[in-house]
Amino acid sequence: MIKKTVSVASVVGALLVGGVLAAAPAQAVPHDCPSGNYCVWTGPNHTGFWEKFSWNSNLVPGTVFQADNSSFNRMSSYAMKLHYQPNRTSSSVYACSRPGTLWYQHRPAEQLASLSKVSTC
Amino acid sequence: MTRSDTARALILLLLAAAPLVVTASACSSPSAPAPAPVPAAARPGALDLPAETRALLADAERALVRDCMARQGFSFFYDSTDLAELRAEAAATNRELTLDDVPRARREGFGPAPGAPARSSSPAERQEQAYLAGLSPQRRNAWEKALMGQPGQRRIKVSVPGVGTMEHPTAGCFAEARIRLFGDYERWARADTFVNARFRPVDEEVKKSPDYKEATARWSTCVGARGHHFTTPDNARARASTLQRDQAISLAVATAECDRQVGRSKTHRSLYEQATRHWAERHPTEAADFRRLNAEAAARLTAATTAPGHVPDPAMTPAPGS
Repeated sequence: MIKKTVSVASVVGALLVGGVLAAAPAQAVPHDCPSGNYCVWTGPNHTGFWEKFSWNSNLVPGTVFQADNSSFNRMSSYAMKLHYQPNRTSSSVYACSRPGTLWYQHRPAEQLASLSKVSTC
Repeated sequence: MTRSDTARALILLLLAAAPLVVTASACSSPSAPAPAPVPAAARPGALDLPAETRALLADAERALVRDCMARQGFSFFYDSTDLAELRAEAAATNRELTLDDVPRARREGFGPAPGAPARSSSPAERQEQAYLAGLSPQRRNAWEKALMGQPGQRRIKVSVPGVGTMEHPTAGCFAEARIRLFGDYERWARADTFVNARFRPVDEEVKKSPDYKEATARWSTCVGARGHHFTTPDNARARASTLQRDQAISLAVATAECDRQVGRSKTHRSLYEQATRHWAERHPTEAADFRRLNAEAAARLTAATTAPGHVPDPAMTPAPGS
């Protein structure tokens, strides 16, 4: 029941906040990420599939969740906190990405699971 | 300090930094009262900057970006930092250290529903989208490059073991603003990246602690005696998410009362502070640079703002090296 609740919330959250899956070119560059978004790729170095997020989000299993992530903060004046657990629990913050920052995280580290948008780090 | 004071301070900084030509722009013009800055140096041991300092630095960076973009003929939009929102974010970050807050449990239960978005898009974000939609593809591309720098630029690469690698731009208006604000931007970027990635190793040290495990076991025994069988507060929170609001609040209050009774969060806070000190001891350069560079930038802004009729000293006001 708990798992179901989280899953539904994740999907609804993704739909509401604009988590949109896109197929990136084979050699995607971070600048493919539209301004005003935080983009996460399934592969290292911004390759593979990617999703764009503009709000607090859980990464939905099946897309960029549990992938060998890389990401780019292309928002103009917001930072994004990166969490390794869903639901943006405060104790699961990996790092904080300021505007213009690229981030890479490779296995075997735990995976990027949720994002929280904040005024500043 | 008022917003206009802050803007004045930034103008002084800019005038002192370089003979800049600022073109008109259709940007947001802050008007709400600004927070009074609290110098970071007032808390020399802290890695959490006061909300007032964070707001001051964030707004200064955005104003500098706006100026940089305006000099290139572009608009840049930002919302002035909402101090109440910043404090709420900090409180949310520290929520797990204060699970013994019975009045809060009575008001909020375990907190907002985790899947709910916290807020809608900001006025500045909507302005930016409208502005960009009105630009030609070539101008939009130029706007983005002016802001973020050219693809292929050299980037400041900061690798944090167990966390990943952050790369910060060295070109474009974000880079220029941070150079002006902090002076040694590369050193600041490294320190900022490390300090903001400390939470996971700190949390891991806390949760390995026998004292933490014992306090949590005492809490579990206490809530068990009240008919709630959970091994951790996370389990209780997950259970609460399936309950009606009044039942969820009742559970949160019971767990908070037990927490206070057995001293679980008190132990947690003590261990968290200790683990943070250990983290700083393992990363002395980054911790010291973070405190110093942020404190110096805040002090420069405060000095420029509070000196009546102050004429900026070109040798002093801009960040060293900018």
